[in-house]
Amino acid sequence: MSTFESRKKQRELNEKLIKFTLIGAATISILTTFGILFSILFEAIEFFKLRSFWYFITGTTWSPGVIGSQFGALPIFAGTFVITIIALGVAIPIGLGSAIYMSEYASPNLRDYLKPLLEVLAGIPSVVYGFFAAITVAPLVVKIAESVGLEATFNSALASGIVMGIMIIPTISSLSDDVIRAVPDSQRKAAFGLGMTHGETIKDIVLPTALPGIISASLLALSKALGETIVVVMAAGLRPNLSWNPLEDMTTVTVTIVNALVGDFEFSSPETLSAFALGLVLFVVTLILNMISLSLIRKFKEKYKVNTL
Amino acid sequence: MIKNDNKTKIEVKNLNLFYGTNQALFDITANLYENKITALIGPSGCGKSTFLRCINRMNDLIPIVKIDGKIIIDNKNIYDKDVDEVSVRKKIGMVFQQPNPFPKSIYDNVAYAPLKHGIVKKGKDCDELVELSLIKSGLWNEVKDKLNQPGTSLSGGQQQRVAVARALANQPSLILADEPTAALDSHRGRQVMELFAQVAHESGTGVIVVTHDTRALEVFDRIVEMEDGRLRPTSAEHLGKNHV
Amino acid sequence: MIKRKKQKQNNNPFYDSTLKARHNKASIFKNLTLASLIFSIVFLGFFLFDIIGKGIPAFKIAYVQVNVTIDEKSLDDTRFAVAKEHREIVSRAWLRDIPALIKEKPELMNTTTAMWVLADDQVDQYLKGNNHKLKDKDITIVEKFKEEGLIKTKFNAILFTNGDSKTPEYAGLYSAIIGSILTLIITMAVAFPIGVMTAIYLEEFAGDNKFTRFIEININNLAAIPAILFGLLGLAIYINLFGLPRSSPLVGGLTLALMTLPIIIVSSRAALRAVPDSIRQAGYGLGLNKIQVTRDHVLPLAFPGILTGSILGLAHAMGETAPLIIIGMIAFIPDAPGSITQAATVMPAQLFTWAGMPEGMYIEKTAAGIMVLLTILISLNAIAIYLRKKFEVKW
Repeated sequence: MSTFESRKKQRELNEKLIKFTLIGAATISILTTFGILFSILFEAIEFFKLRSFWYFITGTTWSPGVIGSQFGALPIFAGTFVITIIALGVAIPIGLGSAIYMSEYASPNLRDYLKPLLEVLAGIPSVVYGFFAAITVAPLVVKIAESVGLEATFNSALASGIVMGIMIIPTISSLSDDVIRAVPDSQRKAAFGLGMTHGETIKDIVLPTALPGIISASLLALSKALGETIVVVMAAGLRPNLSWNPLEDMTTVTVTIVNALVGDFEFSSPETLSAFALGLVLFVVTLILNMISLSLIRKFKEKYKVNTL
Repeated sequence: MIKNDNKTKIEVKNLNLFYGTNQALFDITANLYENKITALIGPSGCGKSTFLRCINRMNDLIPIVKIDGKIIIDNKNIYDKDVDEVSVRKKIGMVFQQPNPFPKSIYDNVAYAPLKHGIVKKGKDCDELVELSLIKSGLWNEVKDKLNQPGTSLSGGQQQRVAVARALANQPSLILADEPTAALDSHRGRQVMELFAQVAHESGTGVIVVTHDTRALEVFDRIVEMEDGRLRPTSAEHLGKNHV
Repeated sequence: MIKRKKQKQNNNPFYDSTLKARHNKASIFKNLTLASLIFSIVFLGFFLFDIIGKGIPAFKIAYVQVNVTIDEKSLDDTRFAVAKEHREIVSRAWLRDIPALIKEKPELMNTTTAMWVLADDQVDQYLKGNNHKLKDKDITIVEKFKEEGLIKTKFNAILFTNGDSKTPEYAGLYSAIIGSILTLIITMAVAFPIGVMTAIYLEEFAGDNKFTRFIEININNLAAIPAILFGLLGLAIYINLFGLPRSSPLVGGLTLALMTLPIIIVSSRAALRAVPDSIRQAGYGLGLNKIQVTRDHVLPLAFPGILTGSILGLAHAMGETAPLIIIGMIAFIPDAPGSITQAATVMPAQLFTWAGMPEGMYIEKTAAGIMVLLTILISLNAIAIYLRKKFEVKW
């Protein structure tokens, strides 16, 4: 082999090595997703060897750490549901309203100031929101409830739900804003040309067109709310409580996971493993929500040929 | 001689338009007629679309636009402060270059505006109006069995006819068309032009069409030429087919 | 803005009585959307105001001037270093540190000197007008000291120089700050190379095939997985399987790295995509191969964007708490970790712990810690935006 050929072979080897390294890096993300899935699945299966799956899904008593401990997660799912609904009830109207104003009414200058401001809300760490929820909002809820003759605990679902809702406003407003702006202007022009007011154009034409994107944003926000841990740990209750009353304390899947792991139980005990069973439920639900959300956005992008989303 | 059966005219008097500090329309004065089909032609960027959009006050939607001058329709200057631009757009319909059906069914596309304006109530009256509008736009036979399908499921040429039907449903006295055939092939384009001529002559709804397409000009009753934001001096009286 | 005068009916063919109601509805709609926007902004303002209001008092802390006796007896049991009636109002933790003081200033041995001693947290809270548990006799002493000028509030350097403590007045952020720094170094050391390499692969080398799409799907999913589940992964794999030390910056960093990957990948891809193709074509035209073109031509141009994205990823990781709790980083950590394998905590976790403490002083301490954390985050974001603007090239 001539020096030329051997140098060429060396170069090709180098190239292969570099390419291999790059591919290797890229596969880490795959490994991570599956790593999470399998580690959680594995431990969850260990849990379900010790306790009934059916009771887990439908049972109403969650009492770890005692003889004859029971792990019925229904009150936990219910608590998660109540707090999440409250959060979405705050985030969707405010997020969507803000997005509509920013994209349809605000001048470009105003928009340039407002959009980053909303992003600030997104950048605040959850521990800060949790502190605010526990120290400021929760007592406020108690006071206001008292003034109308109702009774609220200091760990009310309402307090954590409201703060969680504020936390996910940017998720909805940012994506909705992009989607609304992506609605072709020809639609608006046609509506104006027919003699519609701006409000009618938005309500009857723009929003229905943007609906898939708005739903996608809401699902993303829902997924975030389900997975939120710190705010609820700091502000919500610790005891599973099957109740619809937002003024009571109840707990969520994420809080229970944390509780199950900071105790002194052995790793192989049902107490600790229950965290993984709950983690599995959380993983599956958020994964499904996420996939639906992404496919909605993808369809919207294809239909209106947008690249900005 | 010029046949003088022109119905109530639209008087444009000294219309000037500014985009910020750039002037786009210079002292336009013309008469347009409500029962004819008029073409508005000129090279790219001469301001014909801008002029067209003044007639139904669509330029008001652009914040930096300033307009002075008058456009008098039915003896009222539509730029008077006490005139509601929404009301102007009820009486003057518009068809655009891109067919832009709403995300609704074909029926709802046509019925949306008249219901909103209270021209008809939901039910039989509305059904009749939708049917009439689609007949006038030459689409009825093709879609009468699938009125509930989305407007977007039609072909480009059909969608443009839905847009025409949509505009007709408001029962306007005038329709403005901004390059309505630019996105269509020449066969369909000619069909749409002939449709407009038909609408003008048979329904008495005047049509003013901004167009680049010089091939179909014999369809028009009048041709108005513009250049650099001004009317070409001889064009106001230039006639097409009806020239005698 | 169209200013509409009231329509006159006479001689106005465009008069339409139905329009007024419709315009009103449109106005109401617009105002509702504006209101929701204002709500978000007002909340932000209210929230900042509240946090700053609660946190500012923590930057000052009370000191009392008392006679401190340092001899063998008091070294043995530091309670005897001050007079009996003063024992409730001085910080026990400060007293416990007297042996260290002697090491620094041995001349103080066997002396009784008047020194400024850190006050007990209840004294500090009393002076600040908050709820306190001072007994009446102690209040009398404090009031007397106030009159005699023997009480001062000084800048609370302890907040930054001390680690965590079970005595509120002695608790500070130092160990948490060090823990954060170590953890984030690991995070970026892992996430940055892997993230950038993944981005380079996807943008420059990957074909349009199923494998590529599969990677992209995975990255999207990774971005949406709740943070707490990364903690479970860390627990199951890093701690249980690999046996890495619980609660260490190493495990914390590795866990956060996986969470930060999507952010770095997405922003790096965008930065690479923004480099116009003509640059690459020019390189190929000169006879360079893909690796050389990417390394020497594309990457340097994309670097500012990559850097910006990484800073934003760093800021995001800095605020994460949930996964680190799962892997144990909420233990009580009084001393700063010396290495990446020792038990540590991070700033948000420290704040989380403080927020749960019963003593009243922790409220203002937590708020102050939040102010510090937010300041760092805002600075990081500002740097990232500044870098982006500065290196923004208009192709």
